[in-house]
Amino acid sequence: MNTVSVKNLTKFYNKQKALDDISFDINTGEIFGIVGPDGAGKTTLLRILTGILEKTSGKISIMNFDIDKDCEKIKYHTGYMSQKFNLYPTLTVEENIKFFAGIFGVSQQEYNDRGEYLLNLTGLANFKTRQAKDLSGGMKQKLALISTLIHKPDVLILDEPTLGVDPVSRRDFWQILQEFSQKGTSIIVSTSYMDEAELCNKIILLFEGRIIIQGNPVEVKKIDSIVLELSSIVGTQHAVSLENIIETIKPFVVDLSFKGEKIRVILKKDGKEAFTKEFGKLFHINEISPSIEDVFMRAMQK
Amino acid sequence: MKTSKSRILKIFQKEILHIIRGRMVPLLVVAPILQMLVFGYVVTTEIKHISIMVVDRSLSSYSRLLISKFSNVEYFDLKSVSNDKNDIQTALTKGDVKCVLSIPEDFEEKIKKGEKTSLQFITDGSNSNVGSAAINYGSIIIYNFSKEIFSDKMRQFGNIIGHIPDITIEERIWFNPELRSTDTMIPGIIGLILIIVTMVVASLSLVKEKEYGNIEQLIVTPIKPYELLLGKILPYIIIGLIDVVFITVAGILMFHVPFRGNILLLLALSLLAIFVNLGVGTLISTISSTQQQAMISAMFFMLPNMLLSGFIFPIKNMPQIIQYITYIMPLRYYVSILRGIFLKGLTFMELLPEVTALFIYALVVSILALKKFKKTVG
Repeated sequence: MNTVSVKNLTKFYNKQKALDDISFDINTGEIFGIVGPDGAGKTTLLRILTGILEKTSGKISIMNFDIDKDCEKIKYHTGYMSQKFNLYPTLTVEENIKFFAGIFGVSQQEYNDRGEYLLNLTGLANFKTRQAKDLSGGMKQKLALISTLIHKPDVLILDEPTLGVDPVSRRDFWQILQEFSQKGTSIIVSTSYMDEAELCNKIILLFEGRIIIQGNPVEVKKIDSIVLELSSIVGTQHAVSLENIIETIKPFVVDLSFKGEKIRVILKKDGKEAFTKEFGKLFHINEISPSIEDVFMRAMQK
Repeated sequence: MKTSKSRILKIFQKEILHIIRGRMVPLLVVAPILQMLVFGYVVTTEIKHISIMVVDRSLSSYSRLLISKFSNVEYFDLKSVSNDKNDIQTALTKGDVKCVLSIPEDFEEKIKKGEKTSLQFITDGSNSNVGSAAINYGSIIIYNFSKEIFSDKMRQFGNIIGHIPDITIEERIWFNPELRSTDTMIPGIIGLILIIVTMVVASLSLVKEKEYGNIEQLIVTPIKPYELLLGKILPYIIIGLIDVVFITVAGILMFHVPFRGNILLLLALSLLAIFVNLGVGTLISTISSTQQQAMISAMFFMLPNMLLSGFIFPIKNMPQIIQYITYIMPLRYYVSILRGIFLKGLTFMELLPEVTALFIYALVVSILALKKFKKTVG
């Protein structure tokens, strides 16, 4: 079943086009990743889905409610966590959760069951009486997550939830997301971390307000490009300067980046032979499977 | 309806916790009392104890009698008596005294002969308030002195020319017979403090939600703008009313301000003023995106209200154009109501014009605020 359906969505800020003809569907229990560079329109898209911003045109339905007609009903089915931490710093962990439970009209019985469960799941149970301002960054994110989950939303919308959170907390956070997705919650998450994109069931790449790639992470990687990893052959590395290498390689490749002492290049599908012929003496050449990052770099070059 | 009420309650509880945890209780309850003390003791519009020097070149019984009149009132402090005219210059220039009474050599002589004599009264005009007060008080004393001498003389001839008609003014000042400025000040202070604890603090608290992004988190919930607004301002309504009671009681106990009216009427009409303040506070919050902006906007509202409400300066003394402007200051009506209830014990019907004005103000501002707030929130 489609929990979220977006058709031909556009958004203008004055005359500036922020989103251009966006369409996608999300199924029950899917984790839907929105990836893209800063300013691509990720936050704008999420804010339109939550009803904070109004769209310019297009159709959006969430849980079969049209956002134009039943925005208020949709609010009971969605949970939103914005980029900024925005719970109440002087309230304790428990008071913050209870506050949002109260606003959503969650009954005491429901709160007891679900609140405890969420607190244990996130490991915040021991910090119930601590004021939110005294929590660490990772714990704050988890508290914000609980507050958006307390009313059992069918669709969870998260705007770069793990920005600036340490790797361990990030992994915990994603485990929680996966647990909820398995229980049937659809999750829309924007991220700029490519490893997180790999954890999604479906991703879109937004670039300058348009979707330039759409699909699941495995599909997306089957593209008409190959990725090579070059490591220098001992002896040549001092003979030629780095600038020279880059200058000579550049015309042959789509994208070039450094990874430790190695150079990563993306080539067009048919470009490997020519490249090997030209630079085989300079480098050890290894073909590797493309990462999502490679895919996006390639896509944005087009 | 039940969920709506419980949502308002949730916001209310949260706000109360925020006020308590943010250590704002002393600020909202104790600070107003301190403010009242400052205003009560410092801002007094009466001028007393004006320092005076007398240059007595007559050195006679009449001149001594006149000097004693000046030294026996609390309006003047007799600093020195000299008989050298040159002392006037130095004393006034150095600022030792604010005014000088100079008695001519032939003072007694002329009085005894029944001739006209004049005294010189010199004041330091650099502080015009003190200067004009000194002249006022001084002329009254001298006038009374002259009248005394006149009636003494007349009494001597009374047998010959019969009774002399004498018209005297019996001054009666009602409601504040001693013209104590604290009596008019303290009721006015309630108005001022209400502006601070309701308008300023509430608008800051509303803007804070915006500044910290909490509002965004609330927009995505089913809460309605009016529920949010009501829950947010309810604590400040209560604190405002508590402050009214506190200052009233403190004013009565510490400054012996009379309270002749009905306390319930005072609270009911204060509620009206609180609504005006909260409405303006909400409007300010909708046009400000940071607490700093809100603070500055609040000052822009507060200052003219203070100056043009008759709280410190009497409206009657203002230029006509400014007097018209005072009609748009809500504090003007509230200050009249406060003074009316405190000093005159006025009833609701007697205060009807002010109440009507304040009511219309509250209604218009509240509707505007809710409309504007709805727009920014949702």
